[in-house]
Amino acid sequence: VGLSIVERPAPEGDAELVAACVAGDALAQRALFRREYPRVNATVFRLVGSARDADDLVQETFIAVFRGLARFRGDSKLSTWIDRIAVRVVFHHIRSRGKTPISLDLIGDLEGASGTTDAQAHARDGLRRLYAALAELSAESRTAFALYAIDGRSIAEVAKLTQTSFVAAKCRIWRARRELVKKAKQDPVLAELVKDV
Amino acid sequence: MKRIVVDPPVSEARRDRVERQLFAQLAAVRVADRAEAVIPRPKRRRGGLAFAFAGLAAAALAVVLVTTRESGPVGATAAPSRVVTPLGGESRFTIGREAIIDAKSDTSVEWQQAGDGAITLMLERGAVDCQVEPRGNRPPFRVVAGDVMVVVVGTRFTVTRTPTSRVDVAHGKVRVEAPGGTWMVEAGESWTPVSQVASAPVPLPVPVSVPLPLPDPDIAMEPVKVPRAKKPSAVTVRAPSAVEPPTSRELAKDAYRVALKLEANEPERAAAMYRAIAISEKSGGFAASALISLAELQIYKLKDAEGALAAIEDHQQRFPHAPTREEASWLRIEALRVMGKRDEARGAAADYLREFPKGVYADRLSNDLRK
Repeated sequence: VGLSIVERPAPEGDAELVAACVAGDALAQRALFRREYPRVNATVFRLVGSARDADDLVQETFIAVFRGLARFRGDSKLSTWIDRIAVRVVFHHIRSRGKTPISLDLIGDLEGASGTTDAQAHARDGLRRLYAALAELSAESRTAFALYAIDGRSIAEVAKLTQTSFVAAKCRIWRARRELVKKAKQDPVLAELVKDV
Repeated sequence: MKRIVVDPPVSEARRDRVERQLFAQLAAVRVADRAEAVIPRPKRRRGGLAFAFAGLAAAALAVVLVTTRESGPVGATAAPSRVVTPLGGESRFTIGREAIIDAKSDTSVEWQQAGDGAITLMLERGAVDCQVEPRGNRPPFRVVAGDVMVVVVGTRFTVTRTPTSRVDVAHGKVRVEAPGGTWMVEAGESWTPVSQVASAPVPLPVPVSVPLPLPDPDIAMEPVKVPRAKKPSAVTVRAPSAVEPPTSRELAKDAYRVALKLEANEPERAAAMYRAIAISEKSGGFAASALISLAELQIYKLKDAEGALAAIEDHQQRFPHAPTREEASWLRIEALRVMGKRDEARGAAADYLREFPKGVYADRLSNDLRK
């Protein structure tokens, strides 16, 4: 008796994928996770600057996504809806931590850094200083600035993801930038990072 | 406008780990949902979503518990399990027949069962209400909240870690171990650390058998009887009977683990814990490691090279043959260098090279000495 196992492909379109996930199709859920993970992971990591925290927060994000998927109405793109959840999860994390200074080991686990050892060390040092400075900002300003200047989102996207108005998002970014520039006056490594932002 | 380039970690191993944990939790949710459909539940006090999360956390824990118990070898330490509740959510879970734990709103707690059956809950934030079987001959049950450790004698109690640690005992008795001493707290009593600002009318606690050097007044712990909400009468201050500080290797191990976690954000508290371990553990690897960690913390984070030198000298006197002695020699050079004692640092470097000619820092030090 010949037996062949054919792997059923997961649906690709947003609507089909969501419907399959809501119906409890494990294959579709894994396909959704694998499709969205790189972007969510990048955004979350850039917001918190720590791989360890990012892993926990990404997991928390996807739990919220799968729990809330049945309520996804398709008013926005699925990716935007997921990003909004990710930003909300990170925002609560940042706010609950308060203005705690960043741990020195946080940026130390950056992977895939290229260049010489000296260049890597310099880059890590710069990022440590950047995230240490960001940790002193309000959760709102920090989130808005990181989304804009580090994750590369437009102001309109920042407003959408943080569920504020365009003007409020712009003010938060501007306020964060002003604080960072002020700090950079005494810190040449930080100044190098934020000079053109 | 230029973007600040921050490349996220992209390893497949990392993604696979997150995926594995995520789907284990989601599987647990389905179990929880099915259970919810057939088991009558008490009246809900919170919103649906919050409760769903609480159920999720509890069910995830149950699944992990079953998995680890089935797969782990007898006598081995089980992998830690974690329960996280969102704001407004609560979660109840049981640890075998040993305890029923209620994780309150916005709580993160990790628990682990050692090979000998000892259970340790690490309260990262929030509060847990624990109903624990009297210990008697049973393995120890502990809750660690920051630098405070609660050891159960047999009781029902609550440990809160936001913003400062607090222990409320409903029945029975617990032992609270914190930098500054150890206290027995009995039914109806509460224990909380008191900051220096609020301590004016508060008498000092009964001295403990080992006085601990505390660098920061904020971490001085004093036992205080806190009035219950229903009895808002005057606050009575109590100095409970002091008992011996932790001496067992198991306690030192737990404390060392807590101190490591504290290093990043609360280095002074971590330093106080390392000192406590170094003092309370008369022999053994944790005391030696604690002194090394203390010295590192003092040199690189607390900028207290003199304190580091004292810790290193303590290490060198007490543990001359410990595996950490090379690290101690190196840290001695570093401390002297930071203090600006150039000649002494060169002398210490020469000592290091004599003792560890093929040591990990040997090449670096040889080059430095040649300059």
